[in-house]
Amino acid sequence: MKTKKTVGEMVARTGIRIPLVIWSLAVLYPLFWMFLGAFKSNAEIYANPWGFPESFNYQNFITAWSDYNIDTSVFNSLIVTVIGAVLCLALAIPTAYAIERLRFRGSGALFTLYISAMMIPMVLGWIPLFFLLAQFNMLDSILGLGVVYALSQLPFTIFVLTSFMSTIPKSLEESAAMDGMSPYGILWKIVTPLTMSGIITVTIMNAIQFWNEYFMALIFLQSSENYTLALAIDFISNEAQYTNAWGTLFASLVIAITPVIILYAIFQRRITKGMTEGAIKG
Amino acid sequence: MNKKFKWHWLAIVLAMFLLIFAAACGADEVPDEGGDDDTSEESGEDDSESDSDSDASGEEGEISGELEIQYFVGGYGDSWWKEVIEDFQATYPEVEIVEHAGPNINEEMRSRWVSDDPPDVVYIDGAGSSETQMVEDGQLMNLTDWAQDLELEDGTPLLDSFIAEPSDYDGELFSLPLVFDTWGTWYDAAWFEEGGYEVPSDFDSFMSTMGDLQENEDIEPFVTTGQHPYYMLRGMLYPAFGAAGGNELLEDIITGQEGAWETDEVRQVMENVAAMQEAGYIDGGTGALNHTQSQMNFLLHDNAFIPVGFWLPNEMADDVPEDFEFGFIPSPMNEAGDPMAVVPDLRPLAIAEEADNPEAAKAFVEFVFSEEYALSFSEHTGALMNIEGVDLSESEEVPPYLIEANDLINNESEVYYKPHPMSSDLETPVSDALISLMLGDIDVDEFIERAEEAAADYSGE
Amino acid sequence: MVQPKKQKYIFLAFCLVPTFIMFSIFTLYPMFSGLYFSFFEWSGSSQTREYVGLDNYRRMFNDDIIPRTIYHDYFLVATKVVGIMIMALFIAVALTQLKIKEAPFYRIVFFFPNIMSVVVIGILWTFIYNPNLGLVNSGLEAIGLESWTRPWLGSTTWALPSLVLPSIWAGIGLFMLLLMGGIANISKSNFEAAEIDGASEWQQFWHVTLPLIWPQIKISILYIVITTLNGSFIIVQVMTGGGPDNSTHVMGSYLYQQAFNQYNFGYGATIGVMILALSLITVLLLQFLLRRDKVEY
Repeated sequence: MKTKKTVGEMVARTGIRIPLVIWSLAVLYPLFWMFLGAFKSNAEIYANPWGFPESFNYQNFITAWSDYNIDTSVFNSLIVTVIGAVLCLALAIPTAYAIERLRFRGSGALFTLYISAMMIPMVLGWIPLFFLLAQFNMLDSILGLGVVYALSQLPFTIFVLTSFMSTIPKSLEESAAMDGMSPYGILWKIVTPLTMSGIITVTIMNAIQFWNEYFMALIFLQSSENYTLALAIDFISNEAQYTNAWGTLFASLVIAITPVIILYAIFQRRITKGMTEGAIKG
Repeated sequence: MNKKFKWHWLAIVLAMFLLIFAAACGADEVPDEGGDDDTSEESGEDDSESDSDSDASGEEGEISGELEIQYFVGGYGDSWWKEVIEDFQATYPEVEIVEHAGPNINEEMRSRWVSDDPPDVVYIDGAGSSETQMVEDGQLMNLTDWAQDLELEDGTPLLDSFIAEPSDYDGELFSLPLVFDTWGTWYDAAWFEEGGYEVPSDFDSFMSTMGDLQENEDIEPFVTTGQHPYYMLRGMLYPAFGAAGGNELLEDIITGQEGAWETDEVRQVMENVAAMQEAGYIDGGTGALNHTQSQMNFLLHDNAFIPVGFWLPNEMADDVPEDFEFGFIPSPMNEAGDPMAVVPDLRPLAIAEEADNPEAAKAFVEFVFSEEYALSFSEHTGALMNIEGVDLSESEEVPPYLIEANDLINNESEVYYKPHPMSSDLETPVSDALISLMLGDIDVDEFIERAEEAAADYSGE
Repeated sequence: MVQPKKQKYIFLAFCLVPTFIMFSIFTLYPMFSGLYFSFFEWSGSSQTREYVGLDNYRRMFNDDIIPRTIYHDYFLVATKVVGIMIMALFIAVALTQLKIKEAPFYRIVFFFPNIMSVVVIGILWTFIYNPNLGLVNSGLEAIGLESWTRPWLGSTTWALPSLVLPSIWAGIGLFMLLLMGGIANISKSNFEAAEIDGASEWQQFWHVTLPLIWPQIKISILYIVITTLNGSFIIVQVMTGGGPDNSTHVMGSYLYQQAFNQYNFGYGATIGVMILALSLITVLLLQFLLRRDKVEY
């Protein structure tokens, strides 16, 4: 009886593994292919699209790096990502706290307003936003783009943070208030640290968004010294259509994705933990 | 009590914000310092950025200040532009030139155009640009009078020296055609010679050559980009309409005249396209291909014919197999006995209505249109600048196919003109129906019905 | 007592007002002015524009392509919801409930596509579907199914279904983590109790796991629906541009084409209004359909 169950279990485990392995391949192979493509010449990409390159040459990386100023773009992307992520948190944490913990009239309505903003088709606001930035002198500026990014993820961030904050026991705040701590103190010294896993989770998700975004960057940035990485890649990709330089494109895709993968490798435990602990609820 | 009051107060503040923004929406929120009364403004005084440089341009005769040039970089590359701009800089050292260039430049500069702060000179080419739209929106300077006085070095008026006439908008001139492009059909001359395939000269021989290719090489001989069906429209159909019905039919089609698609001539052309599809001559993958993919297939002999403009060899320069030899013919959609037809596609240079520095812009445009640069254009790009009588054979850097094609265009085929490019409002639905016809999803009747509908919608607007 | 109250309000204002002002300026205002443009005929690339009242709306109701874009959008929504939820649920349960040693590996790998830009994913999958070089057709040929090969993105029949796979591929990771979070929070005693009652693993899944992670499932579905309705245009734009013959246009890509390729920004804004309206209706409807009493644990 007992052995039978284990045999059955083992079969089941193997059966379960098959789709998991297939899906892993489906995820990894295209990525792997992109890395290989970065080392191929253009002729090779067409002649032998899915195999190993004949020799590993770094020419594509050199071209991507030197001809397209990828280094500047990487720096710009970093700045815009940091501005976007920090500003987004600075705006979202107090509001999320107020909505979740301070009882006030209209809190439900305000929450609904923020949440429905997630449904706005972003495209619609791009052109008006352009004029707005022009008036604030924030056009073609990394700072301006950072602000736009921060606000674009604000609803989602508020949404996630409120659900994280709802899991903090009220008693902690109450006892801090008894001890005479000001509400500002409670927000920064009690609530913020306790929400840290949520903050990290949502910040990582936001940062990935900002790092990869390109439609808005395309519209709001103009001079090439302000290009973000996604924009530089879009530029290469467009040029690849006219010069057929796919190898360079893949090389720059690899350059773009590497920091994200490293970051993810470092923080993947945090992300998973954040998801599990916070348990975003409906 | 107190609490409630406070909360109402906050609610009111919030509502106020909403109202303010709603009110702001009601107002004209486009920053329109310039206003619309700008026809007489020549100097850059009213500009929002009002850089002090541009004021200098107001002085008579002096060409100085900042000159912004926007040019699209596509299949032709940018080496010719670099040379011209460098020379211009040397001639006018006072001018500070700012280049806006790249494959994506039309998207990047769009925002500048919207906010009435455009560059001074614009070369209109590539995805995301539309001369017709720019004229309709009044973004381009009316050049009708100024261009009358332009002359080439030898004293012939510029307007008499064009190979193809500029776009005509009710008798007014808003742009000068810089690049003379022609769509045609390409083949590998070396391959054809080796395999003994006949280079087609009309639709019947086109079909029979494709039949031979299909049989002997086991390929679908014809390919184009299905992601941009206008390659087919401009490259194959315009010449076909020209050959069948002349300039008149072409004009009716492009301006969306009612009934143009229902004429017998057009129906015959569309029947021919359907015949190519039914015979299996059109690559089944066409629908998925972007233009470089289709061109790559062509170079790799997966297909034998492709309709593209003159930029093809330059665009694909890095990927041409060793024994490949470009051959170019006007698209062979003409009936036997008729001459082959060519419909030029012009890429114009224009000056912005709101140019900060119109004097320098005019100087630049005048500078560019010369026989010297026409020759150097052919050398750099393997294509033609729109100036007549440039002797290409005197330069060794001009590729042989171009001289041949030039000859073919000048001597053996009929040139038809479209009045101006087709508006994208008409071209898009027609192209959509066309790709369905090429994939065999609809028949000729359905195609004509849809094209007529599109034309009716377009003229109704 | 008045003093602390006042302070409390100041604190509340501190929490809410700056954020709301920024939100109004950078989100609400652009959106409302976008909506406002739907009453204009405007190319979106110059200053000239003309008030045309409801003309754009009339045009929208007579546009044959609009119903198709709506259908395409909901096709993507439905297939994505079903595909992603089944896969993510399967993976989440497999990785948490069944003791698989290499679970962390899968967890890391499956999240990879989520950290990639949609643009990158689009370019990648365009190559995978390429009729000549593509992995899909080469794969089918390799296993002898040559008759199944087709120009996936180039066929009016297959292009839209072909977009589903990349969307699912890119979406699973996030929802897998969300559901795993939910499952991990279920206390062990629930399963022990079920086991004592003699429930099979399948029954446990059906009667314990599923009801207890319902909130996560619900939020996942809503999130997929919302992001698909207003973000699916990016992948369409990159992979097919809406073609061939509009067979893959979704509302967003059609908006983009009208506003930015055909210079009908006013009409594009009108389509934007429709997207907004449909998204709101859909989400409200879903909220209602997915309502199920929360199970306390």
